[in-house]
Formats: sequence, C-alpha cells, structure tokens
Amino acid sequence: MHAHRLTLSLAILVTLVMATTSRCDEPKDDSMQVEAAAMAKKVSAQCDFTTEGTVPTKLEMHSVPLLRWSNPTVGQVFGEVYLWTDNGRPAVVASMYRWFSPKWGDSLEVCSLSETSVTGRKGGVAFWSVEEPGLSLRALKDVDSPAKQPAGRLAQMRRMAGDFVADLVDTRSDVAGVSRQLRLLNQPIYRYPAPGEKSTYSDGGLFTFVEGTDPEVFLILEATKSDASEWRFGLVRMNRDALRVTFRNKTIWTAPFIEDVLNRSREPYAVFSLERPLKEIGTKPARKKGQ
Amino acid sequence: MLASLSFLTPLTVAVTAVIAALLLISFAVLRWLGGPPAAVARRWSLIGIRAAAVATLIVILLNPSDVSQTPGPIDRPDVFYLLDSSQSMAVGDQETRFNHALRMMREANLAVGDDLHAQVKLFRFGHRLAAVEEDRGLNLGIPKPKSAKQPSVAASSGITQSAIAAETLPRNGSTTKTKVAPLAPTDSDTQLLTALRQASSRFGRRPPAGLVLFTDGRARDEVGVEQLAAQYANLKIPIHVVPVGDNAKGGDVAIVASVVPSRARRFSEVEVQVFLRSYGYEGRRCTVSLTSPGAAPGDADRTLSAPVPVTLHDGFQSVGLSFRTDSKTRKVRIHASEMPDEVSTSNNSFSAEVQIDRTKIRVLYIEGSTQPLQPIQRGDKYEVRGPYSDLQQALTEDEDIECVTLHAPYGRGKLARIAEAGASTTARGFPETVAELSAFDAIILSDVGADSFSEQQLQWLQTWIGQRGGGLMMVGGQRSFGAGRWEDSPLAEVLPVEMRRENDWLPGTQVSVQPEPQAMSHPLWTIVADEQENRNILAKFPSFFGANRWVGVKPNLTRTLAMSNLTAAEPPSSAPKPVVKTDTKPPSYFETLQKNLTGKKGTAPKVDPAGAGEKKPATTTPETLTSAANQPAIVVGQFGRGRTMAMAMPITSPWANDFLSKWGQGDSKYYGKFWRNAVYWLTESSSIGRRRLVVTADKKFYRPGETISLTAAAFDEAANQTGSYRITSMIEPQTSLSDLESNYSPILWPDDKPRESGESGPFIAWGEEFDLPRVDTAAGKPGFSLQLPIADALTVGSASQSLRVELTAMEEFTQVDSTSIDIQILHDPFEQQNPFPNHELLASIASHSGGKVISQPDQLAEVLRKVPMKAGVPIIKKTPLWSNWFLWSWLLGLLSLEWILRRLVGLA
Repeated sequence: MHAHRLTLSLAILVTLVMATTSRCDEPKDDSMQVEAAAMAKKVSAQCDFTTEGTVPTKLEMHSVPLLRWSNPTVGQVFGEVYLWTDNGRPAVVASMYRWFSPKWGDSLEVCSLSETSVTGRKGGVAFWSVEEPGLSLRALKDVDSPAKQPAGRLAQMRRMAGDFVADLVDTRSDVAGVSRQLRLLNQPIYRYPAPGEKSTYSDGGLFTFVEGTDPEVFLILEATKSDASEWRFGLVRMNRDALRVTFRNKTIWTAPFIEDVLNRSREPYAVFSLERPLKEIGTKPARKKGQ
Repeated sequence: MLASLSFLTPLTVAVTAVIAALLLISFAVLRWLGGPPAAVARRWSLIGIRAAAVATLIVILLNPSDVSQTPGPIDRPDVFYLLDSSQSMAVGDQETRFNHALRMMREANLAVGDDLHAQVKLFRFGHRLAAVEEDRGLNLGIPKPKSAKQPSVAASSGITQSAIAAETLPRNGSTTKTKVAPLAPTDSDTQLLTALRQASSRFGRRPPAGLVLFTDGRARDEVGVEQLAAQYANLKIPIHVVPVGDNAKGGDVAIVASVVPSRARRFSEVEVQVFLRSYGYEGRRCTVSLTSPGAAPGDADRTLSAPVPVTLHDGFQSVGLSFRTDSKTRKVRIHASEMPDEVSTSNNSFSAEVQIDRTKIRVLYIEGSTQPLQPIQRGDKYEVRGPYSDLQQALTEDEDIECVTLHAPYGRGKLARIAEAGASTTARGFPETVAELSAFDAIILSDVGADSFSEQQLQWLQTWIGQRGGGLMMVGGQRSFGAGRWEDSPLAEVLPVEMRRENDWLPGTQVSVQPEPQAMSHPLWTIVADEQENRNILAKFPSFFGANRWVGVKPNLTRTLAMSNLTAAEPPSSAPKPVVKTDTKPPSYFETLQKNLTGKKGTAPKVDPAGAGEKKPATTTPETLTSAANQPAIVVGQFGRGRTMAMAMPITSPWANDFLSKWGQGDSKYYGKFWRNAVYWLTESSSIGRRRLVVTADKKFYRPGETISLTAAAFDEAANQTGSYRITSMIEPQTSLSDLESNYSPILWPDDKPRESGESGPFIAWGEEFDLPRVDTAAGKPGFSLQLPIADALTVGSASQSLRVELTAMEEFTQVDSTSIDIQILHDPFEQQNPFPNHELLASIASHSGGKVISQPDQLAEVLRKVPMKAGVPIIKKTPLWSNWFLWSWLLGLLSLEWILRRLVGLA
C-alpha cells in the first residue's frame, strides 16, 4: 500500500515536471517582454549622455520608459524606449530591444534630438559622439498659433500630428522591402514639462509613428516661447530603412536607407549590438572632411 | 476779416443824450465865464485835431465789436439696429436672409446720405444680444458724425462708438478673445424677447429714438413679445421691423448632418447615415443620392450609390446609404433631390471626405501544391517559380497588400517561407506566436492538409478569425476540405460550408463555374467598373479541372457567390496521380528545389513530383463522378468578427490553367483582380491585429440625453486580452478649441465615478483625464468599459457635434498603445425646425410699439431722416474792436499833435 502511494506520488510529480518542462519549451511572449524590459532597464541605467556645448551638460534620464513595444510583423522582438532630456526638452532617445526570433540578440538604438553635439557613454565607455545636430526644428506653416491652455495645446498637437503621414520601406521581413504606412500613436509618448525661466519652449510633445507598436519615426512638436509663439516640428528616424513623411500630402522629410547601420558612432542615428562590449571611441568628435 | 461789425455800447440813448446835453451845457458855461477864445487859438488845424480826438472818443464809447456766431451742438438720438444672426437667417439661395438685411442697411445709408438724423448702433441677437464691432466684415457704411462743428452727444459725453459696441467674448473667466471673426448667421437659437429686454440695458443717458429689427421673425420665445413691444410704445420708442425671408414658398428639404467614417480601407463597404429635415412636403417623395465630385472642374460627378427614395415626413428623419471605396481618397457629396418651390436648395447637399487607410494588408498564403519548382532567368538573375508564384505576384501587384508565402511541399511537412523572388528566406515558417499570427489580416490555404498544422496553431487560427477579424480562404485541392481532413479541425466551424467526412476531391472532373446572378453586386465580382463589360467578363469565367464536393452550404451568415456544373473528364496529363499510401518521408523544400535545379537527387527518398509516393490524405479513395449540376463553387461567410470564403476549385496549375492564364487579355489581369477583390473583402473587418488597444462604441451616433457606452480591449505582448493595463482617456472636440465658447464638453461626468482632476462641474472638461474602469466581458475576458451620459440639450448650432475620445493604454507609467474613437452627437436645433419666416409676428410688434413695417431701403432711410434732432444754443463770440493798439496810437497821436501845434503858436 505504502509502495503504491509512493509510486503514485512519483508519477504525479513526474507528470507535473514534464508539464512544466513542456510549457517552458514554448517561448511565451509575455516572458520575452519581461526579459527585454529587464535588459532595457539595466542598459539604460548604464548609459549617460552629455551635450558638448560651451558648458558640457549631463542630460537627465526620464525616470520611466516612455514606450513598451513589440513588432509581431517582423518577428518576436520586444523593446523599450527611454529618453534623456535637457531642461525638459528631449535630447536623446534610445530604444533597447531583444530579438527572440530571429535570434539576433540585444541592440541599443540611439538618436540625437539635440541641436548641439552629444556624447553617449555606457558603463563609462564613450561609444557615441555626434557633433552635428540631430534635429532641426522648422516652423509649421498654416496652423493655428499655440492655444493659451495646455489642454488646448495638446489637442492642437494631436490634430497637427494627425496631418503627418509616415511611410517606411521595411526590409526586415523581406530584403526587397515592403512599403508600410506607419501608424501614429495619438498620445505623445512624452509631454514637455511646464517651461522654466531658461526654457525656450512653452509646450511640446514627442510623438511616434509605429509598426505594431515599434517606433520607427519620432515627431517633435514644440511651441516656441515668445510673443509671436508658433509651432515648430522636427523628425528623426528610428529605423535604418528608407522613410518618407508628408504633411498634408506634401513631402516634408525623407531619410534614405542606411546600408551599414551598426556602430555608426559619429552619426545622429546609430545602432549598437549589445552582444559584445561597446568600443571606446574617444569623446572628441571627428572632424568631417572639409571642415 | 470781420465776421460781423456791431456797436455794443453799454450806454443807452437816454444816457448818451444826457451826457451830450451835459457836455454842451458845460461848454456854454465855460464860454460864458472865459469869454471867446484868443484869436491865436482860432485855427482850423487845432479845431480839426481836437474834433478828430473827440470823434475817436465817441467811437470808443460806442464799443464797436466783431461778433461771430457758431451753431450749437446737434443732439442725434440713437437708433438701435438689431440684426438677427441666427442660423435661420442663412436660408436663401441667391441672397440669404442675412445678406438681405445687410443690403437693406447699406442701401438705406446710401439713401440718407448726409441727412442722417440718428446715430445708428448695431447689435446682433440670437442666443443673446451683443454689440457688433465696426470691423466685422459687414461693410455697412453706417455714417459717423461728420465734423467737430457738429459734435455728437456720444462724443461730447466721452463715450465712443467702439467703446459702446466693442464685443468681447469672455473665455475662461479671465482672458479676452481678441481675434474677431466676420459676423455670420451662426447662432443656433433666436431669442427675440430676450434681445428686446437686453436692449433696454444698452440705452445711454436717454432712450433711443427707435429700434429697427432685421429678422425673419422665427423666434423661440414669441410669447410676450407683443406686450414688451407695447411697453416700448409707452416709452415712446417705436420698434420698426424689416422682415426678411420669403413666405410664399412650398417648404424645405435640408440635409442637416451625416455620419461618414473619415477613414476606410480600399475597396471596402462604407455606410453613410444621412439625416434630413423637411417641412411642408409631408408624404411626398424625394431621393437621396451619393456622388463623388469630378476630379477636375467640368468633370462629371461619379455615382457612388443608387439614389434612395425617401417619403418625407415633416421633421427629422434618417436615411442609410452605402458605397464601396476605391483606391483613392474621395470627397463624397450627399444630395437630396430638390422639391418644387423650396425655401432654399443650397441646404440640399452635404459634403464629406473619406480618406483611404493605407495600412498594409498582410496575407499569409500557404500553398501545398505538388507542382514542381521551375528556375527562370530574368536578365542576369535567376528566380524560382513555384505553384504559389502566380497568386503571390497577383497580390503584391497591389502596393497595399503584402503576401507572406509558405510552401508545404506535398501539402504537409515543414512550412517554408518564400521571398518575393521565389527563394526561401529564413527558417521561419508558420507564425510562432498568436501575436505574430495576429499581425496578419488574412490567410489563404491552398491544397494543404490539416495535418500540416499543430492543434494549437489551428486553435490560434480559429481565435484569430473569430475574435480579431482575420480572414480565411480555403481553395480546392487534393488536400483541401474533406480530402485534407479539415472536417475534424477547429476550422470546420469557421468555414462557410459543411465538409464531407471522406475524401471529397474529384480529380476527374471538369468544373464550369457561373457567378450567381443574385450575387453579382458582391465585391468579388467587380472586375471592371463598367457594368456591362463586367457582366461579359464574368460570363467567361474559366472552367477548372477538379473540385472538392461539399455536403452543402451552412445556413447562417453565408452567401453563395458562384455555382458550378461538374462533368466527368480526364484530368490534365500533368496532374498528380491518385495518391498511394506510403510511409516514406516527403522531400523537404530544399530537396525538391535541389532536384529541380540540378537534376540531382537529394538525400531524401525518391519522390515523384507529380504526387506518387505521397501519403494518402484521406481515408478513402477519390470519388468518381459522372456529372453533377448546381454545386456550390464559391461561398462566403462570417465567423465572429472575421470573414471566410470557400472555393471548391484548385487554383494552381494544371487544374486551373485557364483561370491562371486564359481569363482576360494578355497578362491574366482578371485573375489578379479576382484575388485582390477576395483579399480586400476578406480583410474588411481586420487591421486591428497589430494593435494593443482597440476601442469601440455601442453606436455610430447618439442623441442628446443618451449614454455612450465605450468598451476597450487591451492586448498584451502575446496578443492575449488583458486587464492589467490602465486605460486613460480624455475628450477633445473635433474643431479647434479656440472656436468653442465653453471649456466643457457636452458629456456629463458619470455620477459614481471619483474625480481626480480638480474639476467639479457637471460636465467633463475638454482635455480632462479619466480612467476607464475594468469591466470584464460577458465571456469573462478582461476588458474596460465606461458609460458616458450626454447632456439633454446641446448648445452648438449645427445639427451634429463631433467629439473624439483619446485613449491610452499604460503599464505603470509607460505607454503601450494609444488610439482614438470619434463620437458624433446629433440633435434637432430649433432653428432648423421651421424654415418659414414669421412676418405676422413682426407686423404685430411694429403695431404694438408704434413702429413701421419696412420693406424698402427708402422707407428705412425715411425713418432715419425723420428722427427728431435737437440743435443746441449757438455760441456767439464778441471781440471789441477798440481794444487794439492802432486806435490808441491814433488817439495819442492826435493829442500829441494838438499839444505841439499849441506850443508852436505860443499857447500854453
């Protein structure tokens, strides 16, 4: 009797273990997201960015990730978007993600939104140093002046952002490239804080165009702080593929396909593989030819 | 220069006579006492000088003065113009009522010219009375006081016209709206009684000489207006009326609102809800049509939908229309046919725009045909053409369709992904997760057996179609339907046909297909735009070899699009032979490719590409058939949110050679169009699979007093519905916030919901953030839902108000996804209920107040001329002329000369 009970218990235990094992064999998206989020948190904590103006300024990291994304169109990839700000203005946006299928590992994608030079370090190693501005803000024509109330300005930003259309020629799922119209996330992933005395803005927001929920293009809308306040916009890429953005059916920004996107440590947009340690490049940006 | 010379001596005639008499007496007494003057003094020169001095003194005594007179100030009484700026004043074709009123003002002012006796002050009324600034685009030319010589009372009292009339619209309690829009008839209400009451508070130090009402007389508050007019009469303030609008009309039909989605997929069915209001045509019929204006001026309108007949009932009624989008963003024009003698025909049309949603349609195409792969050289590149290539190419010719092709050689085994050029890309096959599957919009299964999929994958497919709107199409083949053992799979429930439990594949059959005449309107059959040509093309729908024979079509939510006649025939010579059961493993994709490219045998066991050596898919041998008529060939259906299609015939060579290459001219264009139509139809309910937040409302439009029921579904990374996110939302107007007079939406804050924003009013403020509480669905799935009551009455003037609810899914403080939903609220504003003017009311007002009914500008000019004008006391200015240096120098000179002469002649 005792032996029977023992056999039965062992059988149940074995069954349970096997069931657990079989569940573990199948990758679960939510656990992948948790893994990717942990990786992104760790990497973001190791990173710091400084603007190299007359007085080098350490950029402030936004306390929480702005966006938690996935992109089932191209595979099993999960990531998070972090932001570093300069006096409230977005200065560097970074996406840390992990590819589970295809198994391409971890990557760090950075983009400068600063109008001055920027240097990025990870664990004290300067891996990215950009001299040229990452963003050029331009006045947005034929739109209302910024509203007096913050709620009004948010509604204005949303309405203006809705007039932008972004297209991507996606080469991730097909080397020939698949043209995709990206989806705008209606809610800005970052809203500028109330302006301080030194601020040059009165309001602003960081919008993103996504595939799935994967950010491919960032759009900044910013209201200037002056008597004749106006809306300005800027666009930056978060993908190597060719991009085109129109505003009210008129092309206002394009970005060509980047052949070799890895380790472009002197460019405003760069991707770094985290599968191996990042290379120290020195803090002084290399002068371009002719400069 | 003298204005006028007057002698203003203070001496009266009597006093002057007395003085003259006294002087004469004095002279006589002195002469008597002193005797005659010495001879030496009797010189005419001295006498002349002395006489001149005396004369000068006499002139000074007479006080000669320059007198100038300025007329006194003219007191022009005020005349108030009260202009109706409600929406009913916008009625009219050649000239609106509003413009008629403005024209009357202009022409009267021209007729008055300089003879204006009144100071005109302009007010508008509708919701309320408000003074109108001069620069509101009216160009009325109301004369102003002319010069400083005729100062107005207003100017003299320090009150300027602009100070009186400046209209400020309070906003947020503190700020002032500085940008002044042109005045237009936009108020959604006419409160005439209120306006007349409020006018009295605008009187200055004294009441105006009269009021002139420019209105159609259609007012909400008619009761009491005549009594108020009588009170004006007691105050001696006549109310003159200028009735506008034509009473001698039959009625009016107007399209007041429509619900048209702003975005739609290509080739999808768009429903349009039209709201029209009619008056005066009870029981008569009109038609409502839907057209798209021509691309260029002069181009004919394109009919989008057959006109829908409508029997008119006085009041508000709705009409449903629909049309199918094409490849371009379209402006749509909804038009109600004109009825005889309408008050206005300009309100019979309504325009909107439907933009094309260019979100890529992703199709997963799984082909199991046994047809061999063929290497093809294009220029210096080699391509591999497989049985999947025709359909893949047909779909990707459309820039909005992406086709991911998986090949299952011999209908089973590992699925290999095929790139556009035909080569296998990666090791990735069927989607590995639900999320990856949900990123597709439709799946096409061709000649592939159920055993190519795991039970879990089949379950994913069923869930994806039913719950997330995926499209499924299964086409015929020796591994399709019953022959592929699909009858016991979860997809049996999904497909629109009942499958046989045995091998239903009929290879030795010629299939002639006829589209069902009753189904010709189905989008699958729209091959070309021209109806007749389209019919001709469909009449030539090609025949096939082989078909699967179903038990029948499921009764619910299905529609048969084509029937077929089956006749016994020899299968094509290249067709696979009937399968014989074997235990050998089928060759992999690479092995098949290697064999066909090099002619060398792969490492896998020898396999006849024509099908010999395949595993027998079904339990029985293929059925033989002599003939069968009226067999369903193409059937469509609905499963949950998704759409399904079953096609009994195979689509690959050699079974479908005519379909592939002989239907249509040249480049088999009808084949491609057929497939794109199929995909667009299948995916009409999808495009949400890639989203993590999906929100729906329970209705397409709402009425005041109703409740909006918002439901949101959030999906985690694994595409499972989740309740672990926080869903925040806010309401924003579709128009600019600066155009709104209120900071509050017409949505009431739900009673039982705690409020954290600090707002305390009954309404939700524009931009006020609130959470959607978690409310699980009836099926026990986690969801979010909120009931939002709408106010009982709207203040907006138009018949509809559009709102947008913005929603964001947050995981802690990190955004996961965001979306929005448009909400349209329709109401029935008083202004639009009766289009006829009410001139009787106006005549009564004039009669009770002692005013006139004015129909011509001259009559109005006459009123302005006859306003009693008061002239003030003239100002007289008197300047004494003796008070100048010349006169006194003259007198002094005379006296000096007299003294010198006397001294010269030796007098003392």
